[in-house]
Amino acid sequence: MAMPLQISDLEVRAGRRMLLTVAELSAPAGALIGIRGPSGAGKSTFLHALSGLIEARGRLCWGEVDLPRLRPERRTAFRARNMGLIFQDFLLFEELSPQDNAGLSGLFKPRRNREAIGARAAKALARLGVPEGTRTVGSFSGGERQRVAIARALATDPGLLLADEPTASLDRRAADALIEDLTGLARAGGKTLIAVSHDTHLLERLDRVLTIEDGQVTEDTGVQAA
Amino acid sequence: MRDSWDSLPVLAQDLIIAGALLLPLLVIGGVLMRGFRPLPLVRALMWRFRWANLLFILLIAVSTGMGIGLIAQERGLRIGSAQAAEKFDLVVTAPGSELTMMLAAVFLQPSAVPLLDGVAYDRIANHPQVQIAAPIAFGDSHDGAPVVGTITDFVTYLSDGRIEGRIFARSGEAVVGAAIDLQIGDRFTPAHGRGSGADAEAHEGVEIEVVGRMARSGSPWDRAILIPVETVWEVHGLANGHTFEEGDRIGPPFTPELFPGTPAVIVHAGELWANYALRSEFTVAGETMAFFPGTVLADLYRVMGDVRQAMSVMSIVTQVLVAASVLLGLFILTRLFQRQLAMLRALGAPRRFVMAVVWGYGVTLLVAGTALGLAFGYAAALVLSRIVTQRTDILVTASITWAEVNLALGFLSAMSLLSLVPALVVLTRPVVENLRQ
Amino acid sequence: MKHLLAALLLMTTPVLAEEGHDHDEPAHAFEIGGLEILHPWTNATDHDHALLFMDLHNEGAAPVEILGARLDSGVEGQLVGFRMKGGEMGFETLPPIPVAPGRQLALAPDGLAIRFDGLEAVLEEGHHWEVILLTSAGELEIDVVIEAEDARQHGHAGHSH
Repeated sequence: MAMPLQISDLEVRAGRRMLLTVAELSAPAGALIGIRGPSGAGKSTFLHALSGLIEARGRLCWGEVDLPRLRPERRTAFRARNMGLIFQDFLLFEELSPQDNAGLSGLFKPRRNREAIGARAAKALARLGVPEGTRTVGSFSGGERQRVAIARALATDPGLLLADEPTASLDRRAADALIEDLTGLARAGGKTLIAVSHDTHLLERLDRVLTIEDGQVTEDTGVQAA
Repeated sequence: MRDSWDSLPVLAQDLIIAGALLLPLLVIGGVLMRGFRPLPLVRALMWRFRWANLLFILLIAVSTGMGIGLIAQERGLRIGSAQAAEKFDLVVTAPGSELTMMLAAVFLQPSAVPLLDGVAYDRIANHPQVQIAAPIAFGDSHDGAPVVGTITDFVTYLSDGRIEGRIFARSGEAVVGAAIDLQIGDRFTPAHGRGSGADAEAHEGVEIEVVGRMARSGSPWDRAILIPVETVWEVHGLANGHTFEEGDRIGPPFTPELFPGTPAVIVHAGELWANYALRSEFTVAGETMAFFPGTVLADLYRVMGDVRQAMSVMSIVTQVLVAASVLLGLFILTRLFQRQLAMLRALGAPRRFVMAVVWGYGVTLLVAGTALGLAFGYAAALVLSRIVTQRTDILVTASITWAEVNLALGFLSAMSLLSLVPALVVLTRPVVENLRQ
Repeated sequence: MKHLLAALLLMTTPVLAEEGHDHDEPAHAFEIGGLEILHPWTNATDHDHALLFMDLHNEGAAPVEILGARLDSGVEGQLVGFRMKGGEMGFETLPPIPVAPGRQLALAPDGLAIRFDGLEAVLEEGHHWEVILLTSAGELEIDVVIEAEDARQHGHAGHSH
């Protein structure tokens, strides 16, 4: 289930150094948001804060849940239930089949959810046109691998999709095809998508783009639109 | 508590010990894996690092197998030699080294030993508690096998009466051990001495006929040729223990004055306790020496036991070193898949699941290595046993007992505990840092 | 005295030296019904079991049976014989053993011994231990020397130290 995002006075530090501050930000459930900015500006840090992978101060609410206030294991559980993550270099298990990679969450989710996860993984793989069969993903192209990764993110039916440079490892054609699929699936499923990217083709297809420089949101197309 | 433990059958005790040793492993496994399915990922890791894994498994297997093989072999040799000596309750010889005398009289190792005279033999043979007093006269050989002069009672006792053909009935007949390459009806001429120094021509003209074959006993006597002690004396041109009037009769009683001497007398008493009394009685300073081969072996085993302990310590040290290197290897390998483990955490996998994967991977290596090690140990013991049996004719059987299995299980369990360390270390680094690598 | 020494010489195996037995004779020899008991000894132990060793010589005219031994506390000692069975060392309980007139019997490690189980006190090296020897000729209190834990013979045999 997609949830609205509400941020106020968010701070992320590494020791004394301030990595990121976001004074005020909100987004409705089902929004497709891009984050851009120069390297090292704090884009990934923002994504990690949004997914609860790092400690943060202030309010960062997904729906009713204020993520920074949760203990790490509760954040992990929240992530497992509500988020699908997509990485730049896919992070697949080369030795496993596409089906097993896509259904990876089933290995640690309660038994009763396993079947549903497997079914959704299979459906997503089919929808994304990943070749069927038992071979491992070791022989797959970059585009095929990222499709498996997307299927893995969708297998738990999360309300939120968080992607870190999902097209950066792909050639143009593969990237464009992937953008089509990713945004299409997010909209069709009513999911919130937040993607860190340099790829203008991707950013163009999103509802709203934030620019982060020096740990601050310096531009927000959503605000202008509002 | 202690009583109820003692009242259990040995197998039950061993199984309980094995279970107790495995308990930590099972508990850790149960706690870590409950509700999870880490095995596909463990399999993936096994395949990804297959060559390194194979090396680790072999390392564990060789170190485990070495320790087990040594212990099993030592026990096999101990049991084999004790069984080979079991028929020899009490040995009486001229004073000297008990070990030398035992090796000569019981294990038929060639050696020059002084003789007991007819009076000494007579005293032993006529003791009321003595059932069999068998002179053992060795020194000749045929085709490398010792030719031993003795009496029919001893042949029957030694073979438990399991003789194919018949026992020798007159001088010039022989009963051969199971491993001797002579058929009933074959004739041979004994050589004087044994080994490379044997003189084949010394007894030319003497022909001994094989009339019987003893069943296999698993002792050096399987490769011996038994003939009447009179024959031994006769072929050496000595008196044969009997007066002219007695004709061709063989066996006791002997006339002390016509008894040329025997290196050893094997004594079998009618009752168990009598052996101990006889040992005291036949130990006469400067005349005779009586000993239990079992006691001499016990002394030998004590020395062997010390050596075994030293070897056990060495093999444990080896095991610990192997364990350390396997742990180090686990550390290095887990570094190699740290990003994927971080990814699992990012996907929402609990810490316990990640630990289950790393620990399961380590334990898979350990279990495979230990199982293979038991097989290695058994194979090593089997090969060593064959060699020892072939060289000494002491039947050494290789066997892996619960003691070895439990040793291996103890190692496995301790290592599985230590495998938690790399699993925990993986979790100490922040997920985000590992993702960025 | 001379007789005793001769008997002792008969008993000791050739590896044992023959000197030095006279000085402790009075304390280490006991007699009942013609049966001489020489050098009773045991090993120091903190277990609850011990083996009692000694040299016996029947100087009398009638056979004497060795039945066993007991302690003042009532703990009984049994005659046992060392046996090697299937490569395992162990002891077997034995019936009473007669010592015929003029014969000797040695209770020594890896041979014959009187075994005590369920001892209440530890046996300390250098101390003495009161044991009652049971024979067909009667009971006799003997004073047992406690030798080192790993001693294989009594302290005056062989003088190997």
